[in-house]
Amino acid sequence: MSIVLEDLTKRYAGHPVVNAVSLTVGDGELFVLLGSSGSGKSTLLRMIAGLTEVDAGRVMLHGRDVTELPPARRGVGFVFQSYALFPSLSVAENVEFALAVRGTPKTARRRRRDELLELVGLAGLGGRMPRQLSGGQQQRVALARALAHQPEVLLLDEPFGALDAKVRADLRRTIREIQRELGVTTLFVTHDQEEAFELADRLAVLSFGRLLEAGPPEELYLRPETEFVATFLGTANLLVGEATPQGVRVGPVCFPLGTHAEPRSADIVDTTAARRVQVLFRPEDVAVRDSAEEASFPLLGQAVVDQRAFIGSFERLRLRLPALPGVRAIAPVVHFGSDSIWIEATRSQDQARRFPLQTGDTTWVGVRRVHALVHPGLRFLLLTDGSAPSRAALALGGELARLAHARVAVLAPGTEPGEEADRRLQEAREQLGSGVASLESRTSGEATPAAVAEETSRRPCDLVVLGTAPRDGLKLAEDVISAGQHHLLLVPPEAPGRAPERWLICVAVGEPGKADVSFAGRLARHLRAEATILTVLPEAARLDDGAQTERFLASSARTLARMGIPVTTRIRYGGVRAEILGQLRDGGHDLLVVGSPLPGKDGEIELKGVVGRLLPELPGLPLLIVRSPEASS
Amino acid sequence: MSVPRAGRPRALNEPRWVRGLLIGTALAFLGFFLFVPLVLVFYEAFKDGVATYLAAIREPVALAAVRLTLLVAFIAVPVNFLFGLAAAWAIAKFRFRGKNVLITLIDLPFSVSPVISGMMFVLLFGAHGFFGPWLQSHDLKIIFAVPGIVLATMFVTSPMVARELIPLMQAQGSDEEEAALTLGASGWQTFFRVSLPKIRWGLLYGVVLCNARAMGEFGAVSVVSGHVRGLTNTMPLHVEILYNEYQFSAAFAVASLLALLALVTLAIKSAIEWRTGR
Repeated sequence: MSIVLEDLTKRYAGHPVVNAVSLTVGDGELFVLLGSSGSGKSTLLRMIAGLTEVDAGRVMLHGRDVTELPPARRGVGFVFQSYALFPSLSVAENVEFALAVRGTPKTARRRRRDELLELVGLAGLGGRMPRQLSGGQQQRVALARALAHQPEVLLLDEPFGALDAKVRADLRRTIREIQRELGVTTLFVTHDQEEAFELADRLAVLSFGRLLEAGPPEELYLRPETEFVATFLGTANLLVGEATPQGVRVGPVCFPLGTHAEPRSADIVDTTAARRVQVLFRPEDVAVRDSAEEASFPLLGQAVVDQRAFIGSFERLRLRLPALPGVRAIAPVVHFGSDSIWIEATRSQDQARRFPLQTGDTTWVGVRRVHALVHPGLRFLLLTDGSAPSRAALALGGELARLAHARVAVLAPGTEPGEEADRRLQEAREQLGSGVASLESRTSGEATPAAVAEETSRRPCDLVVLGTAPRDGLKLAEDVISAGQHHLLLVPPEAPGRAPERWLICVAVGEPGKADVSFAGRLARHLRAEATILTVLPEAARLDDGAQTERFLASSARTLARMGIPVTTRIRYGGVRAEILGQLRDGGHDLLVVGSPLPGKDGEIELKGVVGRLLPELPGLPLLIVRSPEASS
Repeated sequence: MSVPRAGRPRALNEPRWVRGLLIGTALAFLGFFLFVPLVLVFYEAFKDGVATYLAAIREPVALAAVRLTLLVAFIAVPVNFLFGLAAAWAIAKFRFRGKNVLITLIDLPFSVSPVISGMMFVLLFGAHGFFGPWLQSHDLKIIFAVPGIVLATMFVTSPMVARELIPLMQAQGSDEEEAALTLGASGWQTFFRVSLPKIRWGLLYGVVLCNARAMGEFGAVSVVSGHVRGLTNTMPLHVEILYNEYQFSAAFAVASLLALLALVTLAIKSAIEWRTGR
């Protein structure tokens, strides 16, 4: 394998810009790294070239560990977005540079230079100075220069970023041809998905320093695993439906599921999430018909044409579908307060001629095929009231959401709509900063628990993040966790805004314990956190045979390890509160996970027990209370 | 001269009289403070005839002053060349604590009066200064001797090269250097083949200005020199002494040499500016 990256990590000021990226690029492959700006793709490329230091992980080129080698000894060619030609040297001298510094004889140098200039289509321009060439020509020179020393690996960092569309297309073709001809393993960084699709043998999507998915372009387009990739590559219609034994139900229709949509491992998906499933269909999978009878595929319903646009070979339609029971739209994003669903559709000009549609027309909408995402996305609800604890909650909740690619809703309860409310939401949005996958915010006139109940009944969420005041925190926490089916993260005002890295997961042996572990794992795996699973047994149990407990801890540890989380297990004997506090001290943990007690008959959850006794003892420590499936049924 | 720039609508140009006033003011100012004095220097120098002029320059004390000035520049300019390059390099290429402090400190010799700079060296190396007793016991003389003049000149001219290079190197970035490294160049190869050519005009510009200042420095040098005729007098000091002794022709003769230096400097500076298209 030409390029092998193992857990490559780079941090700036403690914040990971490249986060444990592992990747293998085969010999002669053209591999594209695709991501928006700030996704860490350029940093990753620079680490491979040796231009940026590696904080953790390894870079292997052709089986050689080059992590510690200087750039000059890595045998790579690098093409910069800025061309980076040497302005005081002629085109020929630029191309010959790599050979000149190696002391190659003049005749050999000249031969190679002419060869390369011809390869990139600039034969005869060797005498010019770089500034006398156009941008596209300069980048061709840079390409020739990077190939002069016959590098084993060619790295291109947004090489067409500064060029216009026509020149880009030309250069794209040139690069593809040269790469095929020379068979040089190539890593190409871009933010342009059209470029990525056209060039890539395989591509990988990066977001916030994490490599989300890698594969052939059509595979990632048709069968993405994550919500981010589904919506980032091309246009997506992404709805949340229900998983049933027969398949996926989206409103009135039920799609049988292919094998690719089966969750990979049953025990990493907790049951609350498995009931909801994200369903993707592309605009070209949408069919429009003037009557319900002649359709040979499931119909979603009757929609109104909202927009119609001519885009060359295709016609693009935006259709508005009335609300479907149990269906929630993720993409295209629905206006807040609207309960209708937008559907993006494209059809060929030929179809458009045979069944013309105008804005305002009504049509039946069907779907030819769907793809269910393996990983159900997370949704966080962050509560804010402008107080110090809620600021800490916003900071931590926002950071977790960024890293876990969760959608975020910010709710300001107890605020009537108006300037004050707008100001508070604006403040919260500013505090959250950029990088959250999707962010909506609203105010509610209700008090906190009622507002949460209303919001989560409309749109279920996985996690509510609540800032806890030192005093009346417990009662509020009880009310909020009882208000829906969600897990709860309590954030004290002193909590740091960075993501916790050493989690302590306290479990009791049994089914609820499994749920605690699997939800904690779903979150922790995005954060590069390590976990300690702790079970506290009474002093009297010390003499018993602890086989059952150990089996349980071992299977919990396997569950987390499968998600890539470094994990250790502990059994401690004694009082629950004292032992948890003891472990927190010994292990230097920065987040505590406990299971929620079962709700009482009235659906109320009482946290007075362990949580109530622990809470005053946890200065600065966020507390994640996980609800088990029993608790939510 | 006051033609509106091509392609600009009339409304975006200032009225004719404003343009005329601004240009007139600038020209009058230049003429009065620069052109007239320059002409006067040469007029005064040659007033008593070419023979007097040549005699004043050929005088041993004057020649000694010229030699000393050249010597001082010969030492101070290369030292500042290296210092300026190193400082600019550190500031433009690396991130480190106290970088802004360093930038401010580099500018310090410009903001301190040259006389104070001179005093500073007297306080350090003078007979009653900090190192004075030690220097005396080792029979070393810095103040009122050539080393003091060199030190003071170096101090006063130290920002010249660095200030020229820092903005230039910051704007250029380091893509070319990184490209050279990936192409297999060593650190020195990168420096001589890529970095130095990139900044050569800026560097030369800084050196020319540094040289002009080194030869023309008066205040700081005056404090540390002791005005020993033929030994510690540089050209500017020699001019002052001659002037104070009412030898106007001789004073202006030597001054004309300095003025000539200024003209040559300006010519080189303009040539570089034209070359780099500033």
